[in-house]
Amino acid sequence: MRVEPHSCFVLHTRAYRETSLLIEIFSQLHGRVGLVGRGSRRRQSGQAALVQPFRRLSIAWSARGELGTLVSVDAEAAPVALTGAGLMAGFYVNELIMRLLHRDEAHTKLFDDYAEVMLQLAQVTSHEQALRLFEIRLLEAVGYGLILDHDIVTGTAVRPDELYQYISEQGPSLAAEHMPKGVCIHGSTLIELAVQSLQSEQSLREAKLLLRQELGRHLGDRPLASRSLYQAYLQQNRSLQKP
Amino acid sequence: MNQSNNLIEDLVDALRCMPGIGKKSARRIAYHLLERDREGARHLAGRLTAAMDQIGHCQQCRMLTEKTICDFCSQERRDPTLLCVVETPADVYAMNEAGYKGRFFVLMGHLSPLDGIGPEELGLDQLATLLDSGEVEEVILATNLTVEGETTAHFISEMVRARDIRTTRIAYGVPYGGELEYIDSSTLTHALNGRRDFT
Repeated sequence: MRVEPHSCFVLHTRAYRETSLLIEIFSQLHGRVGLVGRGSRRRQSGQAALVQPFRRLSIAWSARGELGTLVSVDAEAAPVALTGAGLMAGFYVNELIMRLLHRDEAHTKLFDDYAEVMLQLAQVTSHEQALRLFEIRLLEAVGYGLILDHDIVTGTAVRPDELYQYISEQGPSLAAEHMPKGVCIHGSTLIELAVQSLQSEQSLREAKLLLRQELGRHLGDRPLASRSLYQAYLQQNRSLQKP
Repeated sequence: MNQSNNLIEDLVDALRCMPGIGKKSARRIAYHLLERDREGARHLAGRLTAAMDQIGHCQQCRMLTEKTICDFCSQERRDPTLLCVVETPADVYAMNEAGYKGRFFVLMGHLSPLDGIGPEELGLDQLATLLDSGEVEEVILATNLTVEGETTAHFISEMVRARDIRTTRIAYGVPYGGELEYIDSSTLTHALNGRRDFT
């Protein structure tokens, strides 16, 4: 079956045989797809420069069996100009997609979210907010959306000035006075996450802890290599900024 | 590797571990060596064994060598204040041919978190020690022009900047003898972004 050219992003490539590539892409219409690029590493193919992550491409392939065969690749837009921490964050997003999406499962909305987060990583200097909102949307797309608007015990709406405990797989409830379970998070953070705009340092910190807990459940025991790289990079950066 | 009880087939299979050698070429090589050049083949076998047993990495720059410190690091005429960071030993020879006269650091790969290759695998702690020795005045980042190569360059540049050492990245753009019309748009974007004053 031939798949006509449409918008895709390359998530990851790996050298295969002498001149070929194994390519993992995120397609607008087909979700995560594995392809073989025959001869893609040959200079004459002209594909090596294009088949790189973080660029919106138009890709066509022929699908047969588990891996498709790359038929054509063209640029749809200039490469997203990621630098420094943006690059590390970009790999983190790609690793999340690789780990959480099954192959050949369409996620059209998440594709748009992905394109958006890439642009944000290139434009803004603080990536935390963009990453958190993408994580929320990713969890929603794979069917593990978070409950952010009501207390799961009382059923009442979340109040901004209360402290909640968010228990994995369940949701938020008023934090027990002694030994709260799960992640402790202010109502205001839950509300800000629901309207997708994190306002303060506190909300960013709490949202990070909450999403780490929720993503962790689906990622399994293997740590995210891109997360440790991102952290190592930021640490260097911080030691640099010290007076 | 599977061993059959046919020596010729074993040899053909063994030859296929080389890049660019498929089944047909392997068979051609095997017959050629057996029919016409047994002496050459014995010599090759000896050299291969010696090389595989003795060649390791330079303790200073990670280049492949049978010595503790490789020739590139020990040659006095090479400028010790310049350090060029490359991905592979083949890149060392390419840079050397291009007329580079300083020293090298060979990463033996690039940062690729999705393949589990992080700073430790690239020996960046060793690079840090080299930078801390105080001899280096400029680090030239000559990693490949791929997203992973760029990521590696950014990561190392932070390490270098933290030590107040000048960092430069090799220029990229239109190849020598290249015609703009035939150049891919990614390269041209880089060439445009990296334009410089012309006098």
